Amino acid sequence: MSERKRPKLPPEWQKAERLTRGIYRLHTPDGKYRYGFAFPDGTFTSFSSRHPISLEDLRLHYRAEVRGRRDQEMMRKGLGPTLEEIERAQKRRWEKFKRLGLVLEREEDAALLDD
Amino acid sequence: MRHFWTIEVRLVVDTNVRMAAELAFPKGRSPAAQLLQLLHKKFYNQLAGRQQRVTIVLLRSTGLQNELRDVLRRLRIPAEEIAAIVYEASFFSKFVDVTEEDTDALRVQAPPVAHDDLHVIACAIKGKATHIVTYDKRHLLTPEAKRFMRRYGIKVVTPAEMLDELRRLGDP
Repeated sequence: MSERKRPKLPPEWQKAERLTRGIYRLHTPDGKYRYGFAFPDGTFTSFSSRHPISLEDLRLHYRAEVRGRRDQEMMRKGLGPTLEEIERAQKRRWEKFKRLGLVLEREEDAALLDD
Repeated sequence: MRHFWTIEVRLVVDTNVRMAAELAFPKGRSPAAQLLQLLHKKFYNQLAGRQQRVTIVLLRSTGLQNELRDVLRRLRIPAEEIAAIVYEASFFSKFVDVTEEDTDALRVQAPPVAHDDLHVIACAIKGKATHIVTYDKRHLLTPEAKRFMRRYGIKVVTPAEMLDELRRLGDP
């Protein structure tokens, strides 16, 4: 991407390496790096690189974040997904998880999933 | 719409509660699913400008989103469902910018028992949360972690306790 088209990045990101749209690799003074997200609304955040993450997953997070923010804005204008649509999607998803045998007999067991 | 008498509850929902809400059987009786359903309903009411005695702000950080995606991947959940769940988590919540430096700084302060969940604690403190909702008895629902969070005015509770507290406040 040319300098002209590059979004305005915070000063500490000037040496950032652009990986793909909105996603950067930030080199820190200690010789390590982390990831940076530059959002279309002009805000930024960094993403820890402590645990290995693929570019595909970084894109998944970036897209979810951009779409979530955009839909929140649309909701304020009376547009965007309705609660019924979201609840229907959740129900469909749950049926699928049930078919795949992923449902939990005791929901407290979910504590073991993120241990 | 917010009034001077509106009570704002700010929540950090741990990944295990999100997973419980997604995978609980039967879903209707699950406190985690009931809590998230209530939060979603209130989020819509809030955006529609409806008067509510209690408003709920759900908080998220990239660390929490990362953990959610990681757990879903480990369970071999189909990619399109992972994308949908991570999207919903960002749609219904307010973003808190938690950096690696924030979690590192907390490592000195927080009790060792809670070190595995510093990303949750950092999001709660930085996002000025009132509650952390979790099923994690090993790290967060411990007396040490609860005592530490109390210093910041944050309660660590289970989904059922959170629902009780919301009922006590007059909601739903």
